[in-house]
Amino acid sequence: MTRRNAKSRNGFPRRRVAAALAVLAVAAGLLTGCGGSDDADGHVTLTMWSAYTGRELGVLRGVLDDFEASHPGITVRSIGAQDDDKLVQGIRSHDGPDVEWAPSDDFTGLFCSSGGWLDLSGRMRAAGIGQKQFVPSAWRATTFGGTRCALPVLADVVGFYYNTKLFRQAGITHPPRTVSELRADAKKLTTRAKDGSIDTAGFVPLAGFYSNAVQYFQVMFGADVFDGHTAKLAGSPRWHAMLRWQRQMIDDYGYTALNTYNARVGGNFTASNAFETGRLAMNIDGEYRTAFVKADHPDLPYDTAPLPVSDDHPERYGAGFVTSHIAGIPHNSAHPDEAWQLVRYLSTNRHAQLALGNGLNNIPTLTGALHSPHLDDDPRFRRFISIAENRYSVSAPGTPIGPAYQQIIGTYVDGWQSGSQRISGLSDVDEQINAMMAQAAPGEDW
Amino acid sequence: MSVATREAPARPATRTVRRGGLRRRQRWFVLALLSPGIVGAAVFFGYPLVTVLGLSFSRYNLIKPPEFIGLSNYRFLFSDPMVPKAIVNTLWFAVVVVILQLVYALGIAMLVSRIRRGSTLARAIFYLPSMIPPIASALAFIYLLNPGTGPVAAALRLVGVDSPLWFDDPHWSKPALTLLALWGTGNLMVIFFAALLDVPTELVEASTMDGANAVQRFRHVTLPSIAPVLQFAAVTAVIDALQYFAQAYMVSNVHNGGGAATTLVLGYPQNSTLFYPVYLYVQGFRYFNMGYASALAILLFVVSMIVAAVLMRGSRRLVHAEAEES
Repeated sequence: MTRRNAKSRNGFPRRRVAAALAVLAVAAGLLTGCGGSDDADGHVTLTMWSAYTGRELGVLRGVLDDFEASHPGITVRSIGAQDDDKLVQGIRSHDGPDVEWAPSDDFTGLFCSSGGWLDLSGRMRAAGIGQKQFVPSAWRATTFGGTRCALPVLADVVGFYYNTKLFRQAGITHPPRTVSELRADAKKLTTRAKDGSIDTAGFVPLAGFYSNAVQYFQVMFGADVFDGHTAKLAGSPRWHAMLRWQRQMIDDYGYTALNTYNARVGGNFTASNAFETGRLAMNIDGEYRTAFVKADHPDLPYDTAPLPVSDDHPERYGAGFVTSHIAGIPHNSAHPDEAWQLVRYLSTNRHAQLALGNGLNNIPTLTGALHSPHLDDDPRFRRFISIAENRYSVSAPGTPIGPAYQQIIGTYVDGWQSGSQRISGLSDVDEQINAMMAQAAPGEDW
Repeated sequence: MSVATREAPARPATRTVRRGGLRRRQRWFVLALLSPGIVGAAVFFGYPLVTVLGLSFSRYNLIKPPEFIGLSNYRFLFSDPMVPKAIVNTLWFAVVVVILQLVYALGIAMLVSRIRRGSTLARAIFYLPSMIPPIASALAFIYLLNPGTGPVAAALRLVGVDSPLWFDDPHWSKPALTLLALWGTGNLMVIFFAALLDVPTELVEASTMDGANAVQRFRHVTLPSIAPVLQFAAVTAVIDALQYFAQAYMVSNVHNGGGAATTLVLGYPQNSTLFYPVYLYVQGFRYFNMGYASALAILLFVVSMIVAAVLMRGSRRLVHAEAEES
């Protein structure tokens, strides 16, 4: 009998037994990926879930390595590609992760109101962590119904991009500060092909085009969805003004022409993005676009600015939209104390915030890191810092139904853009949102 | 004689007892053979169904324990304006696409069955698309039907026709999805092809000798022979249509900016691709409104059962009528 064919006492080939044991060991390792573990010597292994993958997960790993170096006795197992759905599954499981990093603040309401993430108020007070340390909108995004269950870790900030070469050629000297200027500039910057189709668009006013979202148009007009806990769009003059402005801009181009242009240009997150290739003069986008341009079209002549605002409220100029990434501790964490150390480190450690901001091309939410000379010094990136800090900048309001109301509004605006909806349809939007709130979370305090 | 007369009735009785025991043993044997399937059905179908039914009477966000709320979810379901839109889209698909799929697949199968050379290659060509994952095929069609840069638009331009906006136009989005569905009906084609091979050649020859033309042969010989297969195909295609999700989710996702997941408007453009399962998914896994999503799922299950029963009953009549006729 050769060594290769050696059998164990029960007659199974040893190699097969060894292979089976190896498979079991790997399976056990994967299963333990669901939660932290303790060693006999008191060493703790935390499990952290985030949505990052590839290079971005590597950036996070680097920060976690720094954490481990400064916190002997704690090791962090980082697991990526965990979207909102999986984060909820993690909260539900018996052996979930110790720390969850949500890529948006859309579900702060769900995580806080359900008790899915631990209330961190006491720990924050004890550690002296408070509002002044963070970007205001990011701080607001971590609480719901009186429970503060998360800390902000990074932010995506939406602002305005414009092509400086096209501006110069059109004789425009500065980015539009008001929506009227935006409309006038868009007309000047738009060029058409012989068949009448749009060749270079000044600005595409369609929600759903690239990163455009109704929420960003709302910032430009200061149009809120909720008055207290009730959706009241129908009676809001700001909503009416916003929709009429959008209608005018769409009519300037023609809805079909815009849709054809939309269908013909390259994908948003590709190197053939119309702004990056010079076929779109002005665009609304997040700070992360600076990284895309740097990688794909480093010679693109462009600059950034705050979003243009409605003519009757020029004082709002400087604002943008902020989406916070938040971190929290699931209620089923086996090591809440060690998990708190990690959440606190990611959120309040200046070095960690700078490493994350620079590595992921997002805006730090810790004010101490925002103005550090070590943060990306490209002025086009840094403009988003001032947008994040602007007092008129907003985040999506936390609701008991998460972002469900956005789908209802988005569907309405989709119809409005095409001309199949009227302003009076806003009453139906109010009714639908309020009915959904009453159905999903009646009487919930938020 | 008398002895024989006395003994005679005893023999069948012994046989009956033996047969009864044999049948009982056979029954247990059959049950034992079926047990994996029965256990599987109970665990993977019965239990989830009962659970979903229970959840449909609750408010449940996947984190807090379910809270019993009686018929509230069902009341909301019948007042939710998105539900009729989703139902109309789904029914449109279930009727139009299924009929087109059956006609197209049967037509291709008949064509392929008559090819003398290269039949295997033709079958493979028509079958291959059904092996492509739904997401990949949706992405392929998004590329093919791109009104600006897609090859279909380029071909249309050559003949002086402007390409429709396809997935960006509410009037063209469902026809575009229909083309995608037809392209992937290779599995039906293979089933029909096999059924066509089973059509008795002597019947075809006899009808030909009796002077029946091609249409009459198809109507009175081929169709009755493949009617049970058609019935099966129709039922499964309708159930598939009622569960249509992946392609619709993909095209509305990609054509709606491809930005942040939570700001996407599924059903884009203008709810024309908001199919019932897509809305169910949105409620359950985007808004974590699982109690309501369960009510939606129960309604889908009930409708699927009714549709399947109606189709089975209707097509059974057809099968019998055709069989009697033939």
